[in-house]
Amino acid sequence: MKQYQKTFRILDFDLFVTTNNRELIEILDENFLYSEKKLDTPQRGRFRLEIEVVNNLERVRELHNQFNYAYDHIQDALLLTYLDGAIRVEISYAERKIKAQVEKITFRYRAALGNWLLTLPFAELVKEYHYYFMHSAALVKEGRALLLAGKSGQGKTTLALALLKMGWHYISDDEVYLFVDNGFYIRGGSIKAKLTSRTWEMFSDILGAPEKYRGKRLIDLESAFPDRVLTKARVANLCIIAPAQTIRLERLKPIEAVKELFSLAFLNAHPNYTRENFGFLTDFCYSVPCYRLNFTTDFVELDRHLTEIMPTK
Amino acid sequence: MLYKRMEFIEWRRFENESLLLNLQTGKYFRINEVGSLIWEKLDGANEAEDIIKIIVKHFAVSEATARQDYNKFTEQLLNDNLISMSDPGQP
Repeated sequence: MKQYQKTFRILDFDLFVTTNNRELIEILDENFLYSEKKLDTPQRGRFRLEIEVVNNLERVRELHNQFNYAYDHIQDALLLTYLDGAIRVEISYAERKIKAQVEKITFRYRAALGNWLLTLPFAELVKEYHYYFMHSAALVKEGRALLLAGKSGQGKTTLALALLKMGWHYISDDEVYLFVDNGFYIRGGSIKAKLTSRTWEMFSDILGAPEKYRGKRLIDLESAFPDRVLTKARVANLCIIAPAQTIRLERLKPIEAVKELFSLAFLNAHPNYTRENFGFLTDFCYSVPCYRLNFTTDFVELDRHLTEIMPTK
Repeated sequence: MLYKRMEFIEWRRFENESLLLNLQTGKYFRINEVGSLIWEKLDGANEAEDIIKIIVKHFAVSEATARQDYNKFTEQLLNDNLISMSDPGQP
């Protein structure tokens, strides 16, 4: 059977993908969030991803957006399933390899396939290199990063664009990797932002007028704002965000921040990594001031509040 | 009675509180200052009476109160499978 292949670069790592389906490579390529222009660092590691695309003619009903995972202690492997098992991903830690089986019916979830097949399994394997994934936007002021952590739909992209508009530098609207290097740093994840039609419309003055569309679309902010996109910065503060009626910024105790961030930061399946994640996050929350940020669309006021907590040069 | 913390529980002290994480289930437990002190002593070697004496001294409470706190807390930890009874004959 004919095989198709492509290497995707995430941070300093190559993810070498082989599959029996050319369309899947096109979908992954089209929805890949990471920029190739900013890659100025040497490759540190390589992971393999084998994807088999199958037709399951028995599956006729609607798929549910359900995600499950289970760790296999004997095989030292993690099994992830999405969409009622229509996508099955097995991560082998020992072999540093990902095997996936994807039913063709899932091709309708084009934008999400990259996340399920590339980002999430990569985030799990790259823990070996002490890079820790966090579901967070990241903006930079005076060379220091502010992380805006929150679940999907909480407003990470909106706040990232609002602060970009207010003069901040941009690293990511959705995913970053934390690491330690004499302080806590982040490496940028999604150089491309994922926007709903509504969010795009909200920032049409800086992004241009959008056409109406459903779901989310990618915009390459590196091309739109070439001098304002960065890939790395030392972390100054973190906010756990939620939309509200009034702006409020409240400092969290480290214990509260750890509890809230643990589920946002890591997939806790492998016991050794879970232990490590817990220690890492504890140290992080003691070193980096963490806040709860309730925000409104008064972005001038928001900028003022956030600028106040950022260190000045 | 001797109690011992389960091996699959990861924990961190945060000033006056502690956070316990069950590595098998991913479930969290946040415990207060008294609970943190008891938890730290549950190493399979400290007798209940010794721990109660430490609580009395540390928090300036009566022995009855300390005993009540100890019994209630260890019962809760047992129910949540965070500790087990320790056999003094075993290392």
